[in-house]
Amino acid sequence: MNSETGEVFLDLRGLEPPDPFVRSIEALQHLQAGQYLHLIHTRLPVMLFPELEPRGFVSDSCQDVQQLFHILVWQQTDKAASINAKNHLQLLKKS
Amino acid sequence: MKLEGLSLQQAPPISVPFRFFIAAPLFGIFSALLVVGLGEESLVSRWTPGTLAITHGLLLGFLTSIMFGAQMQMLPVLAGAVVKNPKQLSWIIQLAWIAGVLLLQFAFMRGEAWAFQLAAVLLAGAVLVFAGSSGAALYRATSNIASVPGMKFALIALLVTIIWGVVLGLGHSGQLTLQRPIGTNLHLMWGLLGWVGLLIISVAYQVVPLFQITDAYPKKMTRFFTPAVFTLLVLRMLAVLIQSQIEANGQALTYVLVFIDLLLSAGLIAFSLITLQLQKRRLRKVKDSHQKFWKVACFGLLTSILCWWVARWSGDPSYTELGLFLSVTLFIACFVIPVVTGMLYKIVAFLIWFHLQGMNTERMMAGQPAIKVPHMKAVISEKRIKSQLMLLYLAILVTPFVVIWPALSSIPAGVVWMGYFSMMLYNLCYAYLEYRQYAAGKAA
Repeated sequence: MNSETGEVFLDLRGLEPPDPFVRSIEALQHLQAGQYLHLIHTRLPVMLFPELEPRGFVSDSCQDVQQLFHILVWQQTDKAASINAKNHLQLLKKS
Repeated sequence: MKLEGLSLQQAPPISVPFRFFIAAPLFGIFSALLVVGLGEESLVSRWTPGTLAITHGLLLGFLTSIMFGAQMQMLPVLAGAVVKNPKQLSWIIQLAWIAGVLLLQFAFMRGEAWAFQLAAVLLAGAVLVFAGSSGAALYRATSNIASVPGMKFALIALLVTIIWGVVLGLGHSGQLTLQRPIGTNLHLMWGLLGWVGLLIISVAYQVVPLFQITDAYPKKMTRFFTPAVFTLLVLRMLAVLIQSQIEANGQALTYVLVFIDLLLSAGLIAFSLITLQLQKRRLRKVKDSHQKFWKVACFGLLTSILCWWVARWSGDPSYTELGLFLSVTLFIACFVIPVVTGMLYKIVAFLIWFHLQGMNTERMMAGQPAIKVPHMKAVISEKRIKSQLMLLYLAILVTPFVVIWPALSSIPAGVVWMGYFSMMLYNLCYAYLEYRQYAAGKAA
């Protein structure tokens, strides 16, 4: 975890389904105010997305030059986390 | 980036795929019983009634049942293609399919014209309903994954297979001239390489990297391979039909056919070798029987192709006939059945987990306590799957001898395959009953 930017990083590569889903949900349950979850995976975790809204989370993602997906998730009501996540996403899109 | 998810609301009830999955091994057991009952006459040549009843029991009753069930459930999951009214459609398809397959087997064994006609109506009707609903779903598919074009081609191949099947059925019943061997060969080609082959390849693009944690298949392959195979099958059918009509150009078309066959063989060999290579370079080495079913299948496919070419270039027509029959037997027993078994166990475990997880989300939204959800690997234990794999090794060992040395090996092979399908039936029923326990919140 990066305490300055609020990033909680989780590498889902090499995990067999449904572990990417299970670990992401576990990590989301432990997010603190101002924090966002940064997931990295070789594919979009399609199982996860319908689970976010009922739990009060929102997400955005992008794909890097190595074709890896970066998925950023934060609490809908957490403005600090939202700003942190969006700044991070901008950096990822530029790189 | 737009994020589209996979939700339980998109998927049909779990009973939809399960009714197909549980019917499938019953057909396997029945086919194995036929092998035991007919003994050395069971698989003596591709033209005997027993062989036709057994192979159709396996390919329609066992394999296609699983593919129907899996596709109705996995289309929404893999391709974002939702099949409308899945419960009603699955009942219609399955009832027509079970009655049609049993009638066809009866028709082959007894040579009854009415049974061929009725079986043709039932099977063609079931395929039309399935192809119509799946085709419409694939047309509406929201996902652009590489599997979708291959699934569409496989569906068209199924329609061509059933058209040839109906033509042959009407030939057996005396209403048309029996198109042997041309019609039979084309029916076989579209069924095995088109419907079964294209579907396995397109699904492999998704399930091998996903469940075996490998790299993705090469992009060029996922883009061009299934359209290329489909085009070659169309060209091959045209060449065969033209060759049968125009005697003057017969020799030139023979070379065309050899060339097409070389391309098809090269493509299938490439698919096997790439799959084996992906497995070898797995990103995470986890002990898992699932990938062993795929490994067996890849070697089975390579052996089947080798056998086919050796038989084709053999000078003795009787050896050629025997070799080609052996090649098709190996294709079914050593490629298709292992791959479908491996995939089935993964799909069943995933579906049970997926449906229970979806229930928990609904419960959470309704403010109810969560139910226990087992890990995918606990749905059907690795020990049980390993036992199934051991039985597969044994079955594969004895199966070639049914063709080469039927007097000695038919009954043992039938018994082993009966054990194989019985174990599968037990595992599937066990998994479904476990699901019911978990869903009711009664599981420990």
